[in-house]
Amino acid sequence: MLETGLHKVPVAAAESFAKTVRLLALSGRRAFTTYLVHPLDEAGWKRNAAVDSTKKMLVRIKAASMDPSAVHTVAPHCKRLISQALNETLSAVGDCTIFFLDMMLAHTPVSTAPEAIDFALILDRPLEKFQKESETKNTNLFTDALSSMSKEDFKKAFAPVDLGKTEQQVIVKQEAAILFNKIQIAHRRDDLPACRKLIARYMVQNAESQDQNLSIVRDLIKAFDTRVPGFRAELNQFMAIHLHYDVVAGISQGDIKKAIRGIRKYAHIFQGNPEVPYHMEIDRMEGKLYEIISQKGLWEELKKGE
Amino acid sequence: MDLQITSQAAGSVTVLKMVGKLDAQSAPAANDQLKALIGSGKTKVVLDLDGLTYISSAGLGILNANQAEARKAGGMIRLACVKPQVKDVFDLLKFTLLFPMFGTVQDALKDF
Repeated sequence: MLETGLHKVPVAAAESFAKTVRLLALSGRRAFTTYLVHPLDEAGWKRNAAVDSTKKMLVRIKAASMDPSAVHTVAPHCKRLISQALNETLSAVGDCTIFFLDMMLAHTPVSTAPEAIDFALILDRPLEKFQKESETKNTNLFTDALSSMSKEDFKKAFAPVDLGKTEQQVIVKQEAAILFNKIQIAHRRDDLPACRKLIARYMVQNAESQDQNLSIVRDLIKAFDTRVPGFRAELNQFMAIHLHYDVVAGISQGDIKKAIRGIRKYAHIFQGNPEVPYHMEIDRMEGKLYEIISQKGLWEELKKGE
Repeated sequence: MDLQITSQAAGSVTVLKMVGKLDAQSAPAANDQLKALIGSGKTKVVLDLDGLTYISSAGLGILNANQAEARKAGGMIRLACVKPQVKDVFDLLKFTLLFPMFGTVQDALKDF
């Protein structure tokens, strides 16, 4: 829950909202309307249709976001953008909401603007309510799906990378290298939001691997944390939000392997850190996972696959 | 109560007996107890896990963090009487090598 008297939309909140809106989109029209469209409508964000479509507006706002002298106009323009999206389609509302949240993540003048704070406070309660309501449903869906999974499916889910295939190894290494280069570029530019986002992605993808640059990235995190207090905590929140999204999206899309990998990565990275979001929910799912592995007598098989 | 912890001194070693489940719910309290113990200089610890029926990554996480602290201070946490279903989780999440495991509390004590 966000506090009142907010001066800035916290990065973790913006990231969490963006992921929750994506999950809302996966949940169907009814949930999307109840938890996103109605709250914005009721808060008076829907106005008469503008002359320009959201597509045109997005182009202009993107340009403004790249111009230091115009970045302060992004938040008021985003408010008009959302207002217009509410007159268009549900998909436009989703896209424009995520765009506004991404802008908050990338630019401090946007996340500190009154429009951004107002937007976050409008969405805070409904999105939290949606998350709470989804939690039990997701755990039940996950349990049902696990029960019907075959031994082979489990083995695949517990093999993070098929290291037997050289091509696969090369792809994974290339992806890690590309991401690492992007981190270095963002670091040289001193672009903190980009660094945080890229490092979170890198860590989520490579925490279990032996990537050659992993120790350099860990050193970079330490250095950032010394220079920018709270950097590691925010990074952890980012990673937890990403992994939770992977787990829930996997469940919603019937991709249980994706969900299991997410739980496993979450368990590996955070090891029960009670400060990170979703730790109780993921812990409950982890418990269900082990319960089904025991019921199916798969422990030895899965450990062999490690 | 999900987890009960009782403590007993065995010379310079402290034996902590854990009974119940070590998961995200019970891990913070267990962590506080281990932290306080190691912080007070009692860095040689045997965890008697005969009564531990379940562990999740949250539990492994606090054991791992306290193992690091104990080692830094010249001690170590050793595990005794680990149930197969608990060891399975250690194995699956690759924590087995970080903790010496013994069949009995006596064997673990002898190894210090």
